[in-house]
This record gives sequence, structure tokens and C-alpha cells, in this order.
Amino acid sequence: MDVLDQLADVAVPPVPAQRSFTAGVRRKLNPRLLAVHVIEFALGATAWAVIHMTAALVAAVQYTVTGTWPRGQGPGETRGDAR
Amino acid sequence: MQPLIGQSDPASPSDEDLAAQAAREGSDGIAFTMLMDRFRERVWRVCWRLMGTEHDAEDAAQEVFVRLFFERGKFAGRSRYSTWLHGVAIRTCLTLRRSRSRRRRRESPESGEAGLAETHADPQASPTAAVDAAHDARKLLEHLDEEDRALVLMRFAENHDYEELAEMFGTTSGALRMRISRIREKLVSKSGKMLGE
Repeated sequence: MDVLDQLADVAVPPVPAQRSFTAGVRRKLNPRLLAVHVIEFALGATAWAVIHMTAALVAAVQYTVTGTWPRGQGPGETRGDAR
Repeated sequence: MQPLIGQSDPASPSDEDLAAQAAREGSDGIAFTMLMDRFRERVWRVCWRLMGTEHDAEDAAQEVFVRLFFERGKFAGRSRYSTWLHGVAIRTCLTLRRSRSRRRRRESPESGEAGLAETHADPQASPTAAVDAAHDARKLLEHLDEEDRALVLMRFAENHDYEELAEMFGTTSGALRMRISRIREKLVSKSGKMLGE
């Protein structure tokens, strides 16, 4: 008989109790899940902030160079609308 | 309980249907919990075979389910779910064994190999000659690299056929036959015994 075939004769110990096993999975899973959510939130928030900050910076540069705010974004527009 | 889509018998959905449902549901879904209950024993067997001690096997089996959770959307249905899951379990165990082996070598460089060789020694074992022979075979496997060792264990201890193994190891069944043949030759030269078919 092939010695390798005898590997199947080694008895596997019983599976750990379901409750403790599942608790172990949750202990490992929950912190990683939290980290994933935090990272996703941080990336989403960063993207949102970058988009809005960039628009404001572009408007400020344009105002500095040309003396006028981009259409619909400047304080004059607001005053004009109010009037 | 959420309805399981595409299933004629909602009481016992197939593994593949559960996997599809698990991919759609959130972090506390019923489908993933059902998959976990269904495959706990099989994952445990694979992990125990590959890790060698109950403590390491339990740690690895839990890690497998964590990885399955994060990769639950990646099951494409090209193979049976159980085969795909075995592949994930094998890769997880190999990663853990490699990292433990590296850590062991860092902590005590001279005891690394000895530690590995003793991994499968079961104090309650050897009531029969067959079991002794099986333990000899397991010790012999410690001379192989991690992936070859895993392949031999899945083939001979878990009796998976070559087609399933090819899915699990991401190769072809022909390549695996050749590899098993080379492993046999290597083991023969290591043991000095005849392991032929």
C-alpha cells in the first residue's frame, strides 16, 4: 500500500464548538470591518473635500488675476440676485 | 429571513445560491451565516490537515471565514462553491504557515526546522501500525515546500480528484499529475523507501 494513501488514516479532531468558533470569527472580523468602513469614509470625505476646495481655489485665483468671480460663484452674484 | 433568490426549495438552497445571496447582503446576512454553518467542518478538516495543531487550525479556520466574508463577491460560479472555498482555505493556511515559519526562524533560527517537524505529532496517536505509518508519512511531508505539502495532503488525505485540485491550485490537472509524480520521487529519495503507485 502506498504510504501517502495512509495519510487518510490520521483522525481529524472534532470541530470546535459552534458558539466559540463563531465568536472567534466575529472577534477577527469586526475590527477589520470597522477599519474598512473608516477607510471608505475617509477616502469619500477626502474626495468630496478636494473637489470643493479645488473649486474655491480656482475661483480665488481667477478673482486675483482677472478681478471678477467666476459666473454664479462670486459675492457680486449673490448681491445681484438679492437685488 | 430574506428570501433566497433563484431557488426552488427555500429550505435547503444550494451552496452557489447562498453564495450569490451572500454577495448581495450586508455584514450580518443570513446567507453567509448559513454558508459558515454548512462549511465549518470541511474548512476545519482542511485547516487541521495543513496547520497540524488544533490551536493553529482553529485560528486558521476563523481566518478563512473572515477572508471568505471579504471575498464573498469574488465567487464567479466557474466552479462549485465548495471547490472555490477549499482554494481560499488552502491559500489562507499557506500564508499563515509561511508567516509563522518566518517568525519562528527570526525568533530562534536553529529550532525552526525541528519545530515544523513536530507540528503533527499527536500525543494520543499510534494505537496501530497503520496510524504510525500515517504519522511517518506526515513527518516525511515536512521535507516538501508548503504548496507541495498542501497538494499531497489534499490529494491523499482529503481524497480530492485532480480536476478539483486544479481549480483549487489554479493550474491544470495534467500539471498536477506531473507535480505529484515529482513529489513522489523526491519523497522516495528522502525516505529511502519505495512509495510507488
